[in-house]
Formats: sequence, structure tokens, C-alpha cells
Amino acid sequence: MNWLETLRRNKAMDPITAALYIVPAGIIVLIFRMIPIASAFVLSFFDVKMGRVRGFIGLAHYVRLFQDPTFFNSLGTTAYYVIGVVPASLFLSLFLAVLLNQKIKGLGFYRTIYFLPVVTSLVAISMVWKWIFHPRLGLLNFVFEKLGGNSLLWLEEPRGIFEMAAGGLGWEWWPEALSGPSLALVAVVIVAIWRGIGYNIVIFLAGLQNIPDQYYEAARIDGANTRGVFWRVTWPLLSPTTFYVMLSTTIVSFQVFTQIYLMTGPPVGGPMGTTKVIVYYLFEKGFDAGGNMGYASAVALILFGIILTLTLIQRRVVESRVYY
Amino acid sequence: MRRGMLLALLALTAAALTLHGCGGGGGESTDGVVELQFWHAMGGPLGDALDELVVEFNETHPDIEVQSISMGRYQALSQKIMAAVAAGQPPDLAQAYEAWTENLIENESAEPLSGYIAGPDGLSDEEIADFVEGMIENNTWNDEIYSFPFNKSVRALYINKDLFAEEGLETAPVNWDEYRDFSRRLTKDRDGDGATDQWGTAGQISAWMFENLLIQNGGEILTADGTRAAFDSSEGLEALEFMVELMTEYGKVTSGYEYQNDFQAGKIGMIEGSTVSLSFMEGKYTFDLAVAPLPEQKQKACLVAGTNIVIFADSPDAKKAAAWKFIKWFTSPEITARWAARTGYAPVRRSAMDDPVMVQRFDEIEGLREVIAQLEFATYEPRSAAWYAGRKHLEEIGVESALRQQRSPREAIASAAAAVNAELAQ
Repeated sequence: MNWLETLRRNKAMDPITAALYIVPAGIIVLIFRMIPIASAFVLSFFDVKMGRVRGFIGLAHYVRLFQDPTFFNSLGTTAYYVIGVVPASLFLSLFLAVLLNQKIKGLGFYRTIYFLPVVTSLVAISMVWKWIFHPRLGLLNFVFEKLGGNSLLWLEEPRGIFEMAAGGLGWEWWPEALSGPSLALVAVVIVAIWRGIGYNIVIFLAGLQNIPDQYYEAARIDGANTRGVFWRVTWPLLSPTTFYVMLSTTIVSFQVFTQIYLMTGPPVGGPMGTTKVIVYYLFEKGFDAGGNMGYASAVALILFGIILTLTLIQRRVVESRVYY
Repeated sequence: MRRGMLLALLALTAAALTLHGCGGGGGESTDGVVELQFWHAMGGPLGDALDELVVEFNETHPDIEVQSISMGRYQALSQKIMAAVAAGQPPDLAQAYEAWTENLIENESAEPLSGYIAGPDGLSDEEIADFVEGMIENNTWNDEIYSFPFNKSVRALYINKDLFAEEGLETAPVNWDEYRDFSRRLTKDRDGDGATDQWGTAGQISAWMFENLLIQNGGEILTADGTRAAFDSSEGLEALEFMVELMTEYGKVTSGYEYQNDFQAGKIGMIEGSTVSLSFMEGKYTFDLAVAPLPEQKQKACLVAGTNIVIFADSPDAKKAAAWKFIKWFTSPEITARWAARTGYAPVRRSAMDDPVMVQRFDEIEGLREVIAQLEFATYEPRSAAWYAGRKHLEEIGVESALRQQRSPREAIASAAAAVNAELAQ
């Protein structure tokens, strides 16, 4: 064992040790991430049915994809969803994180409460919210009616919220292109925000606690008020965290599936396909009606491209305003 | 100590792997019993009924052990079958819609059944002729039978006779005019608060009702060669207009099966449903119930729904032979009669209609005999895999947008037809 000792002393083993540490996680990532991604890329150029490759077809799947109005509808729906979830989730979780960063009574209790949805099964959450939104038996309409309001169809309402608002104001006509996301989709967005803020709060809390106290002290000595402290100290110094939360929430939102699958329909993606997001579209193409895996892979790659592009843009535009 | 732990862990792993080997392989069992994996989507009372019959089969066939595995619902079953076939580990038997079978045939995963039918343990020509009209033909592709009718249902009107009697109505509606007229008379504001609280009819958003109306009105779902939509005809438009009028003015559209609960609660005069709905409603209503055939228009029409059963070609011969025995047993007049009487599915054999169990059931449920008799003029949906996808467009773009009054029936039909044609063109 002497040679081993020598090697170790000369640091010749360091790269090997490092590699050995990486191997277990590396194998898992390789098998469950890298290989599937690579095969999806390859499969998107082939005619695949029921797991059997039936020949190279080049870009045919992509051509078909760009001719399918359902694909573009599902892209639009996904965009509504992301725009609905990301800013609201960011704002709410930052707001709550700042509150939870104070020295208040029962801090642990509040933190637990806000984190609970994160550790709760998404299936259970979806089922409970589906009941809350139920037009006749749901809690939400019960409360609305008690308060003297009108009950809404929620998950069964295909009309866009802007169109509904215009109708509420008594306007007879509203351009169809501006009708906005359906109330059903908004209901799903509400659940996604509620479910997601707990995790973001934890990240924000960690970020807040990383800001050294000296800055706050210095600001206060200089006579800054609470608002000034927040905008001049907390906000800029928290920006790396905010940036991370924004990026990760955007990526996760683009990939929404479970809530849609469990809360909407029947048929899933309803009413009138207004909640059919891109991943559900992919799932439908890949696993229903014969299972066209090649086509589904093409959809997955387009989604990958969209997320990658957006992430790069976010890095370009937003990261320049981040203070590290 | 540590070494002991390690050994224990290794032993456990080995045990787990061995166990998994047994489970996955699905039984090269030692005592000569052939184990069959049967995947289906039956749940609730239907699942219980199926499991009981499987147990009985296993008891009367000591050399075969059918393992009944429920996937809960058809969509999940379809996905599991596709995934299992892709992974090269299909079950031995499964329920399958015609469109799935067509995919399986194309993939060479479905076992042709003619050999078994002609074989020593087969079925005679008389027995084949005893199958209900169309049921064997609809399981035949290019002169080869690939599947057998398993759980087939027809649609029926469920009538609340108490509410009918209140209005002096003594019979079920026999045509569209009566359907509309009765529904209108049954729609009421019982408590006088100005809001309707009893409806003539109710239903969920589904292509079934439209397809039946279309055919009753003399229309076709697809062109004869199956390459284009044919429901965008004047017959189709009339059918959808009638459906929208009926369901929105004298009826209500609910999510999922809620309309069934409302009917059970006595708030709806009549609903259209599958004969299988009977087994879900059993004992949950207090009024006098009758069933009736669907009303007719230009002609009587009724589409048959439900799946068939297939044997997978990759299974070993011994298993396939055993699987055939199960199919033959399950579709025998006596068993199909008991299955039908218990679940509400249609018996697949003509002679089963006279089986004492079935006769007793006919006596119990008023009108059931006439409902099942719809099989005589029953038709089937197009069975291509493309239609399985196209049907969704009809449901989501056509029926749903019209029933939710987001599009006029004319626009709804036209856009659904365009989407279906695009699907069929691929």
C-alpha cells in the first residue's frame, strides 16, 4: 500500500478521487437525464410507434407540428400560465419572506404553514382544490354566495377572464383575440402560485439572511426609512436570489403537467382545450391513440428550445442588473 | 458488525431481485398451472363483477390461473399496454378498443384467433353465428379475427317514472319531437323561487349522444372509405342543433357523471346513458325507474360502445391456449348472460337473451329487453386509430363548444370537421 500513500501525498490521486465522488450521481444523471434527452433528439427524426422505430422521416414531425393549430393554442395557453404564475409567485413569496424575516412571535409556525403545500402531494392538492373550485359544492362559490356575489364555473369556464370582465362591465362586444386566459386556467394558476410560494419563500429567506447586518445598520445611521432600506439595501443585495427564483419558477412553470392532468376536464385540458398546456399536448401525442413517440419527442425538443432561449434572454437582460 | 450488515443487505437485494424475477416473468410456475396476466380497466361494481367471474374461472380450471389486474380506466390501460408492448413485456390478455387492436395488429403484437376457433377447443359455425350481429365482424381485420367482444354496451334512456306520471306522461319518447316536448314539460321551477330546479334531461359533454343523433337522422360519421369527416352534413347540423336546444333549454350539461347523481336525486326527468350506468345507480334512487331505447328520427340507430379482448402474440403457446380458453368461457352464453345481468353490459350471444338469469333481469328492469334489443340494428363507430384521435376533436371542438354556446352549431361542426380531416390526412 506504499505506492498509494505516495500517490496520495503527491496529490496525484486528487482528480481520480474527485471523479469517484462524481460517479454515483453522474451515472444517475446520465441514465435518467442525458440518455433520454439524446434519444428524444434522435427519435424526433424517426417514425416511432409503440416503441418500434419504423424509419427515418427527417423533419416531417416538425413540419406537422407547425401546421397543427392545437400546438400553437397549447403554446399560448402555456404562455398565459407562465405569465400568470411567475410574477405573482415572485412578488408574493418575496413579500412573505420579508415578513417572515422579522423577529415575530410564532415564526416557526408561520414558516411551517407556508412550506406545508410544498411537501404535500401534488395529487392531494389537486383533488382538494378541484373540490374547492366545484361550481355547486365547492367552498369558493359557497363563500362568494354568502358575500352576495355570483357563483362562477371556475374549472368549467372556457371564457377568457378579460372577456368576462368586459361582460361584467356591461360591454356587449370584446375582441376575441384579447379574451385572455380562461377562468379555468386562472384557477389552475392560483393553485400553482399557492403551491409554489413556500419553496420560493425558503430560498428568499436564505438570501435575506445572507445580507450582512452592517449594511442595514449603516443605512439606518444614514437616516434611511424602512422603504429606503428595502429598495437601496435589501432589493439589490437580494438580486442574485431573485434572479435564481425567477429562472427556476419560469422553467418549472413551462413544464406544468400534474395539476392540469388532475384538475381539468374531463376531457383533460378542457373546458374547450383552454387548459391544454404544451406538456399535456406532448403527453397526449406520445401516449394516447397509438403513442407517436417521435412526434412527442419533437414537441419536447421545441419546448426545450423555448425554455433554453428564454433562460438565455433572462440571463442577458436581467443578469446585468444583478449585484453579486 | 458492519460486515454482517453488508451481508444482510446483499441477501435482501438478492431476495428482492429473485422475487421481482418471478413477478415480472409472470409465472413459469412449478406445479403446471399456467398463469395469465389479464389487464383491464374495470373498476367499482364492474371490477367486482369481473373479479368474481375470474375467481370462478380459476376454480373450474385448476390448470389455469388468470390474474385480473385493473388499471382503473381506459386511458391508463391504453398507456400501460403501449408501454408494455414497447418494452417487450406485454400481458397475456387485455381489454382493447378496436383502434388499439389495430395498432397492435400493425405492430404484430395481437394474436390471430382463427386458429383457436377452428382448433379442437374451438367454436362451431353455429356458435359463431350465435354471436350478436356485427360483433365478430367488428373484430375482424382482413378476414382474420383478432379480438372477441368482451364488454359491450348500448345506450338507453333512463326514465324517472314518478316525474313522468306527474306530467301525465305514460311512455318514453319515441322520436325527437317527443324527446323535446317531454323534456320541455318536465323542466320546472318546483319551489317557485323563479329558478329552474327540475330539468327534462341532463348529460355530460360527450360525442356519444351526438353520434347517435347523427345516425338517427340518417347521417354518417365518416365517409365510406374513412378518409374524411361526413358528419358536417345537413343531417349532422340538424342533430347538433337539436342536441344544443335539448340540452341547454330543457336540460343541463354537467361535468363528468354529475348528471347521473342529479337524476338519482330525482331532479331530472330522463337521461341518456350507457346500459352500464345501471350498475352504478343500483339502489341509489327511490323513484320508479324504467329504461327505454333511444328515440328515433329518420331511422332507429344505436352505437355499440365498449371494448374487446385480445391475446398478445409474444406470449408462449401454452399461455395463449389458456388465454383462448378464458375468452371462450367468458363469451359462452351462460357466462355472458351472468356478466350482462350483473353489470348492464349487453350479452354478446343471442342465446344468452333467453338464459334464465337474463330473463330474470329483464323482468326486474322495465324496458331493459327493448333496450338490449337495439343490438339488432346497432352500428359501430369507425374503428381506425386515426378516428380514436379524431373523435376527440369532434368532442372538444364540435360538441363542447356548441353545448357551451361558444360557437354556433354550424361553426362548431365546420371547425370539428376541419380538425378531424387534418387528423385523418396524416
